[in-house]
Amino acid sequence: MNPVILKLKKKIKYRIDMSFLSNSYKDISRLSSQIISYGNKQFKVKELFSIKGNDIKNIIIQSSVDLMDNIGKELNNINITVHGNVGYSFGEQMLSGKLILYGNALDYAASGIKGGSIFIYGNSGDYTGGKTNHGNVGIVDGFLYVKGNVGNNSIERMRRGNVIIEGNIGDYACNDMLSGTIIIKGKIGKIFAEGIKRGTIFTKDKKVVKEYARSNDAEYNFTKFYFKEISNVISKKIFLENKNLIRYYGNTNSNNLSEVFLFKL
Amino acid sequence: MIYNGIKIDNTFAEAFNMKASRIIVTADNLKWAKHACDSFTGFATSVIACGIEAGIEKQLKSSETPDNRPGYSILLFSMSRSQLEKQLEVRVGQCILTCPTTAIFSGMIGEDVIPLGKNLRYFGDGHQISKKIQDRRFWRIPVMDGEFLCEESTARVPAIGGGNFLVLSTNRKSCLSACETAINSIKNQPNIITPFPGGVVRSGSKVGSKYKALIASTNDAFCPTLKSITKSTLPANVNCVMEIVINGLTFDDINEAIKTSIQSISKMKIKKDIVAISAGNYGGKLGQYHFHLRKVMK
Repeated sequence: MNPVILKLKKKIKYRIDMSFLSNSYKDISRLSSQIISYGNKQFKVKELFSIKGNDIKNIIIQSSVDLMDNIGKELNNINITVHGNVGYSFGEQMLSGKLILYGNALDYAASGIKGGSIFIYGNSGDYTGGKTNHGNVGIVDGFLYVKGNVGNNSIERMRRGNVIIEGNIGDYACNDMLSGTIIIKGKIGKIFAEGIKRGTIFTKDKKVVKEYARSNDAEYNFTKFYFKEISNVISKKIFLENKNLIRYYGNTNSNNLSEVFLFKL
Repeated sequence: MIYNGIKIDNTFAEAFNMKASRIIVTADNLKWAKHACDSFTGFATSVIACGIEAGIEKQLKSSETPDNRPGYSILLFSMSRSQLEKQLEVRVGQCILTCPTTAIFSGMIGEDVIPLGKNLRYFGDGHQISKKIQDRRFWRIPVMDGEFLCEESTARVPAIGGGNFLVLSTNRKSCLSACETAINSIKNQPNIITPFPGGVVRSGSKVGSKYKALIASTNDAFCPTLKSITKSTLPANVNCVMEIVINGLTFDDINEAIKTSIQSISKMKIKKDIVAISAGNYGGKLGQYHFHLRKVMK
């Protein structure tokens, strides 16, 4: 079984809804003859894309462009690898499987995901890992890794799961967080973690912990273990050591029971 | 059959279907991991009265454990799911949670899941923190030395308990020495444990008793002191018998362990004192697995 390779036959000028890739097809011929809209007309997938391979559970999109929206939307048990940029709602409300993007994503990437893993080896736009544009829940569960920078209003209303951002994150990030774990290696924008209730944040930005109570310097078996597990998932060592971590936990003046680990890189 | 100078009796060991689970216990150093494991596996020699049979499977290096700290893996065997769940929970709660610096993880993956820290988390009195990494959930329970980290559940797999062989010797010193050598030879073999103290049993039992309240009693056919008054199976020159009981995850694991153990005894200088190697069985009607010693040693 070879992975299905999709490649645009010609340069496109209108947006394409790529959510058809998340459907479960019996075989490659069903996928090829799926009807999709382009502009004000309808086409079969094979008329817009050249298609190779037959393993419909493993899909590779080559030379993707940012006019291609909803790639991996509500994805369930399918792996998709994308080379190039993608449009809006990349992996939105994904359930399971794996999405890998070697490029940049526009807004609403990984918004409201409920499971699975998303790896973005580029930058990502606003509302990344946040609420969907029609719902009120953020990341319910799952794994998100962004190598580059992330836009505004990201990781909003996160309930569970793990997020690793190697670059910077924009304004109004991590607001109304309910639980989950976030590692942010870069800088943080204005108004961070407003209305947070629980959860764990690893950051080097001191302004985040202004209103937190400094916890003791006790040993945390969890951090050592967590870095090892996460390093395995992203196949890359996270260079954080226990000795460089200072823990801040909760704010007695509010219902904030979240914890922040400040680290020195 | 004579194997390398040792007589192997034409008999078989009778073993039973059991359910097993593996857990990994880590600590800041091996000393404290060992304290926790010794406590956990204490009073876990036989399902007859202990609920489970448990033992340390092997020592783990820092690089082999989930949290990069040294530790041990423990195998637990039980006849029923409810006993396994109950014993695992109470033993983790009383022996691992209480031991300084320790953490506990599941040591096997499977579809049949049993709770590990699922109920233990309530010890945190609302301050416990859940962390989910991929499909595995962990609990961080605040304790006085920092945090106790435990995985929510572990897996349960079918296994075999009660693989055994008997060492028949002319004297107690040689018998014990042979058993010690045998146990050392399988100390690092994966997927097996020898649940009895030091791996050796001196009180082999038979099913039933003259007293109605007892389900098992001394195996008089192998007691050298009763040779003259019971229907003894012991040759005249045997004055000491000891048994090694082996529980394992698969038939092959136990087979291999019995073979390695007997081989190690056959290489000893004191093998002249070993009259024969035999095995314990109940006539073949109770156990689902039979380890025929002569087949094992072929």
